[in-house]
Amino acid sequence: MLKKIIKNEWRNLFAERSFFILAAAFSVLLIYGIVNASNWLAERSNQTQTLTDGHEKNLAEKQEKVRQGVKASTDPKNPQPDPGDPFEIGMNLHYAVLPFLSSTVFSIGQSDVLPNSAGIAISTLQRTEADKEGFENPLTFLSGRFDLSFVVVYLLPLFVLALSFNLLSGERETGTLQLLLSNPVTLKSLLTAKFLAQISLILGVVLSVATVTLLLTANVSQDNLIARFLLWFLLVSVYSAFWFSVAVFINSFGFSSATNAVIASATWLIPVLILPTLLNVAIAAIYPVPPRNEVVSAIRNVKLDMRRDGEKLLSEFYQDHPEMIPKDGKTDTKDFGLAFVYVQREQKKKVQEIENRFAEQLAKQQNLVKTLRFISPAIITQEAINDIAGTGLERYTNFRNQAKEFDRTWDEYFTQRIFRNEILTADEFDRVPRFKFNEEPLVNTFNRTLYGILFLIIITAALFYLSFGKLKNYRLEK
Amino acid sequence: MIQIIAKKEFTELLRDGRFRWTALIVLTLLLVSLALGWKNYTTVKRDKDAAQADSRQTWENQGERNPHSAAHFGVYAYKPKMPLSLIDSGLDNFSGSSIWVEAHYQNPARNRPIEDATALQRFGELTAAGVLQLLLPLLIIFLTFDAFAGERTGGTLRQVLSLGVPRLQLVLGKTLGVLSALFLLLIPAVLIGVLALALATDNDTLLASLPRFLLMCLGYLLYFIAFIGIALTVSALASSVRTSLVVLLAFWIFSCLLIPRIVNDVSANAIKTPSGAEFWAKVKQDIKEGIDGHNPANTRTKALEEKVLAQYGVAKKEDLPINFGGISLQAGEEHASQVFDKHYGILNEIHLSQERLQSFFGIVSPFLPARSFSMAMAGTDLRHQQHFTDSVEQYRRGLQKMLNDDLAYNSTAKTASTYRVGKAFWEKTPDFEYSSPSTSRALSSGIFSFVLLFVWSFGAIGLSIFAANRMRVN
Repeated sequence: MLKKIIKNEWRNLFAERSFFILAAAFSVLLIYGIVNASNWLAERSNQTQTLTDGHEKNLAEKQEKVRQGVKASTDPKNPQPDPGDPFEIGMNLHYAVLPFLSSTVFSIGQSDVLPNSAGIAISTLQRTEADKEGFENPLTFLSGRFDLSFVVVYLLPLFVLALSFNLLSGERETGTLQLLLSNPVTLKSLLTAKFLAQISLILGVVLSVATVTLLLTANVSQDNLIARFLLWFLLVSVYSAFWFSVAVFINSFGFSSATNAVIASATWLIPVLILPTLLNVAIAAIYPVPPRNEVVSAIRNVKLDMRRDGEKLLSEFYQDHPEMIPKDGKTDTKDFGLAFVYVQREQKKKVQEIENRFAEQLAKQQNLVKTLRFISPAIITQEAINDIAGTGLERYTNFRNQAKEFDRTWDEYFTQRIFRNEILTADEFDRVPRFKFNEEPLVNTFNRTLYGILFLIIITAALFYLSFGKLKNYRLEK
Repeated sequence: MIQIIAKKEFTELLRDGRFRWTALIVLTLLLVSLALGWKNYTTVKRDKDAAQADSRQTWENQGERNPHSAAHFGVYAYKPKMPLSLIDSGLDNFSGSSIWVEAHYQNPARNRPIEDATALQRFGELTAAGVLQLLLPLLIIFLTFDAFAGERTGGTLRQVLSLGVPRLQLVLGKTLGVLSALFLLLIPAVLIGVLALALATDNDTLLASLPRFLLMCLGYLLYFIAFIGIALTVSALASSVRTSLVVLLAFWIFSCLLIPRIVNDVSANAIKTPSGAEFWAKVKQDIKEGIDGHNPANTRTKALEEKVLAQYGVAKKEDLPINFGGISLQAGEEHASQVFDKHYGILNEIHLSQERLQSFFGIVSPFLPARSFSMAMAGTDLRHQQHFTDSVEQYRRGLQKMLNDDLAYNSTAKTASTYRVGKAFWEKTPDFEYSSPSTSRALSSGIFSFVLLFVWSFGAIGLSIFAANRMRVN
């Protein structure tokens, strides 16, 4: 019987022109979202590739010079450092780069605002070079991007509600409801059948359009894209089911179709537009992010102290670390280069402490958001999609930590050689540390996403349960 | 006659539970957003003022140093929070809030609040402006979608028209009726807005902000009239109440949700913003080789040296009564200033062209001009941001000149490396003070949006009169 009603429902939908218009419009938006995001992705990936390539090229050139036996030149007109001088290489700004995943098309997420490269250098001064960026037009962040996650989080619910707002009220108003129920069918099973018929069509549209577009635009074999896609589709299915349960719940009150439409659009507003924005501004007012200004001031004070105490610190350092004394035995606490490196090292340590404190405070606030996301299915879905796409906070935090770790490795590698007055040999160039981002196993993303999905399933089930309870009192006439 | 119709419409709305509830919700949201905006404004303003004072104090207490070493240490300039940003935070969260003022470099504004925010920020912020731009049009749609369509179905439209009521008066009456119902909600909101503003700022700032505030209100009024006109038009032409609602909701989704995102991508794709690496590569090239490859750095220094030596009538730099290093640093700054003027000029123009391109889409969506105009009046739009960065750069150049001149004329080649100045000098250097652009300047940058809003509102009312004249009675 269930099958028969589903088939009947499909026939009804296919007979309506409005269904095709809706489905076509939604498909166009889906395709536009994917294509738009993949163009953006291609452009950004190129930019980051240039950064990495530039650095490798630079190292390769120096290595070649060392091989050719080029030495330092003290010609006053054109002084040249030794190409293997660790001071020169270590001081130069280098970038640790977070590669873009091909799954970025699911959601551009935070990847357009969070820097995906971090400056690495012995000197904090050089590192500030990497901070002299941020040339994007702030206007582009105001409305956000038209990507797949926008289509899913904002528009998919509208598509679902547009189909289902008159699930029962429509049948009642045309008089077919009574006719249907004269068959051996309960209102419950009718509703279930209608739900199954509609959601299968919607998910069919999403699945086919997204699969074809992704096959055409993205590199499917990379970055676990297929697994990520499946997880994404599971999430989208549950999110759609939630919105159907909302429509069913609204219908169970027995209002007219027009009233249902108004209620449905108002209901869409609350979790999608109002709650997230309200929560956002409320958190900012109640738990403000510690102001960046404080970090800036603290770091400046460290720098000031370091400048004053540089020489004294260096002589203390040599007393503590005799193994670092250059091989020729000469230690010159006035040697500007060494003092500079040493002071930079100490300064970096202190700056790092301040930055870590700030990051901790920030993490606290962000954890709060993680808990509060449960107040709106739209927030749950957005956060989960970002996580799946690899454009959420998790992957960026991970990157920042790894970049910090790499900065230490880089620092350690070069300062040791600077203090020992060693010059890099050609072979040694191959052993210069290179940054490689360690991707978090996908199973972690899966575990995090699962909470959200389970929560959505629970509220969906609850809404269905409540609606079925109310249906007992459903009036079949107008 | 118009009055009678307006009064009827008004009374009907007041009696309608739909209006009472939705209006109550919107009013609550408006008040909550104002309160949170006020709280946010006072916190951020306090932090920024403290940071600015702190930067100055660190500068004054940096001890005895060489002026150029101090120039490298630099100071920070923080963007002050504009009073009306408590209503419309505009680009505040997305644009840099502080600039490092140092030697040799014109730095971009850094520390965008969004970088420290969660993904939640991308849903937007519930500001009073957000409620007015997104939710009020929706409220208007809910109130007016059945204005004609409902009366037609109910049969009262035929009766009213048979009484000989001119259709023009019918439209104007209904517009006024809806508008006065909205005023019930807007007037308390405006009063509370002024109160919040008064609590957050001192009297002078309040007075200075009032013209901007009033213009902002005017902009929103035009925006609402536009939506009333559109809703009446659709209601007059739609065959049923349901069609009217669906069409209006579709228009809202299109103009308030889809268009803003689409124009965003269109403008970013049509006019490319350079990446940080590209930008600095060009700047460094021009500083080294001279603008367009003329006059490279070493030729410039040589010419300067000859000029200064001739001026003082000596043969060697060492014999100069002044410090050539300082002169050369200042010359370098002046050359770099031209380079920065060129490249930041190009960058700013790219941003403005992107903004202009977006604003043309205001022809299909009243939301865009309403948003731009509101930001322009609040002082949180692109032009205000650029005004801030320009002011900081002017300050930087003045400060650099003062430091370089001191080094040049108070030390010589011999004393240069040991030359130090102390607190007395740091206290003499100017502090960064920002004064925001005048209302008339803000208005001139928002004029295109204002004209568009004007066209939208009058066009929509005109259209609804036209539609009412053509509408079917049955």
